[in-house]
Amino acid sequence: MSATISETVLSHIATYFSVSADQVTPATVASDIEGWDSMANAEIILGLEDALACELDPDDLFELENVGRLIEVFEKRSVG
Amino acid sequence: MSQLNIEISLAEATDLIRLQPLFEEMYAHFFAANGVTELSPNGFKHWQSGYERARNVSRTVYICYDNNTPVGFIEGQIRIGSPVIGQGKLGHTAHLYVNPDYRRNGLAKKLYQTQQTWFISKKISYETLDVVCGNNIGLAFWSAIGFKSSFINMLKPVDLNSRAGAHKKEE
Repeated sequence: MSATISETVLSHIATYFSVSADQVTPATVASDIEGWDSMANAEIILGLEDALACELDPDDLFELENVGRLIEVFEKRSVG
Repeated sequence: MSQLNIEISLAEATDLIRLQPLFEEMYAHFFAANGVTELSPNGFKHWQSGYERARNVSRTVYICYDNNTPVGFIEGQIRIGSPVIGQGKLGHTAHLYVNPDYRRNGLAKKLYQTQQTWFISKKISYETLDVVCGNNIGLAFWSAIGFKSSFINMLKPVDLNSRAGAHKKEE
């Protein structure tokens, strides 16, 4: 069974920062994780676009206040 | 110079070490031009770090070889722009350098065009870069390609020790 978008996003972020899976939840914000700066942010978003074969719109990029919102925009774009 | 045998390719992480002499030479040129931009002792090591993970996702380094010797390189990064001025994904040229002996052969432009193809594949809305103050050749090169000056990036060293001393005197 393939992973859901939510599972993919959460595991991608946990793997990227080498943190345990339970440290990344939909409520997680960038300041919760050491090293989540603007460069890491771009790398995560582009890595997820590749992994999910889905591109975000420019407007989506400015609405990513937490991981849950990131999941939502990928879910929206993957069905759109 | 004998016949050039130029090849441009996307660097693997293990290729970056071969760029160290060019990288250090580039920063020496920066410092000569503006007197403030210096490579830190571990600067090259920091620059290499993280490339393997980001390679071709959010970062590329294309190396220009002549007969298998690196003679230039360009580094591109995808960044997320400011929502305040309506930017989306930006293609940022972080470094471009060609060995002075190899200039006037169109290598910088070839490197740029190679990188631009990658930027476009990432659906960027703008390209950005910084030009070292005093690098008039660089400014002319980028202007000819269509870049326009937007901000001037300014830098001022802060001596925390002297600041602490100043506060003490004030007390």
